[in-house]
Amino acid sequence: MKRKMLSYIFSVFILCSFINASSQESLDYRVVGPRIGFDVSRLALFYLEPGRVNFELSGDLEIRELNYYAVLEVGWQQIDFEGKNYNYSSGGLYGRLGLDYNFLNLQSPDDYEMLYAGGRYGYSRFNHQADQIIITENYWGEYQTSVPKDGVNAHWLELIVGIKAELSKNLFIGWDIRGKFLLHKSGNGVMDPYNIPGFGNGSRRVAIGFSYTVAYRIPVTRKRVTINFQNPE
Amino acid sequence: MKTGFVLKHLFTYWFILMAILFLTSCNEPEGCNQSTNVFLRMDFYQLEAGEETSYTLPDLTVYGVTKPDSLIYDDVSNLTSINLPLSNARDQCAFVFVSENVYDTISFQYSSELTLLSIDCGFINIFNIKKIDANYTLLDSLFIRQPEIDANEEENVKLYF
Repeated sequence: MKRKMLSYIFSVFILCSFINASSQESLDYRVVGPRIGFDVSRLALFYLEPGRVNFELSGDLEIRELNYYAVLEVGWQQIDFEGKNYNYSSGGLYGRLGLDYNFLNLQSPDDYEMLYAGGRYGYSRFNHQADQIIITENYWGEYQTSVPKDGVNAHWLELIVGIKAELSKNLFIGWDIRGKFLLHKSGNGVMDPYNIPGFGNGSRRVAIGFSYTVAYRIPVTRKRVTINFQNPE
Repeated sequence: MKTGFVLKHLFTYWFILMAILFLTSCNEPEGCNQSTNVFLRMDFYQLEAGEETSYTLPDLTVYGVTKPDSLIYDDVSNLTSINLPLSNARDQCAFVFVSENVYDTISFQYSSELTLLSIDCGFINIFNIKKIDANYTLLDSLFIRQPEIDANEEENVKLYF
């Protein structure tokens, strides 16, 4: 079932590679400016995972001639929950830096939609701790302790596929799915992080993530560019 | 603004993405599915002509030296191994073994390490045996087989009678 759906998605890429109708060179203007996005999928966490708060902003900038987009993503996460025999809290920041490549050929100079793949390097710095740890042992009695605040660094790489479209002038919407591969995480070894901000499950080395982003492009300037675009047939 | 390929398919493929995420999330185990009880397991043996065989102590009673009124095992006869609780608050424990009015005391020195077993199972203390002493009135000898004591219920100490 999963394989079928994945093959369906990737068939989109193959389809796109064949969209190569007669193209011609045109000299025209194109709006250039950073696109600032907000990941609205994080808002769903309020309902899906009470106790977890996560906000994420993204920014990308078109490097048109190369079909590349430079991307920066930053976020903040706070987690507080009561476990079986402990209270856990975690909070910190994360950032990702990378590139996206747009597979689509432009149909006109004002075509900004994207079917893209990209890569990211991610870094997170956060603290986590556990309080009121109560270990129950019937013969000798309860024992209460805590794990003091521990600073953790984590690095990872991501591979991304996604799409973006311009809903109205300068307003974009899009989603992506990403595979994440943990390179390193520090820590005191007593407990794995429940969740690494920006990465995901703290006890795994591979994670899957997704985002659903609403973005606004700040139209800084109009750049005169030479592009190859398709003739409508 | 151009309405093209991506916009047409934006929401269609969103459902596929959601389906993948749903199936992925279904693989997440929920709840604690493993033991969180940490006991020192000791198995009883007898050596006969160099051969190691399981042994049972008749009418065995076991209690902590400081808690003679609270018995861990009360006059049992068919056990070939016992599980003893170690104190989380201290780094040593001693237990009295009584069988047919013969008393022996076995004391343990150990270290402990707090470990988060899993998010659902919570924290446990994992112990590491440093030293064992005994009076050797009931006991003939002992051997530390696995000094680390966790929730896996593996044999930690062999007791020979």
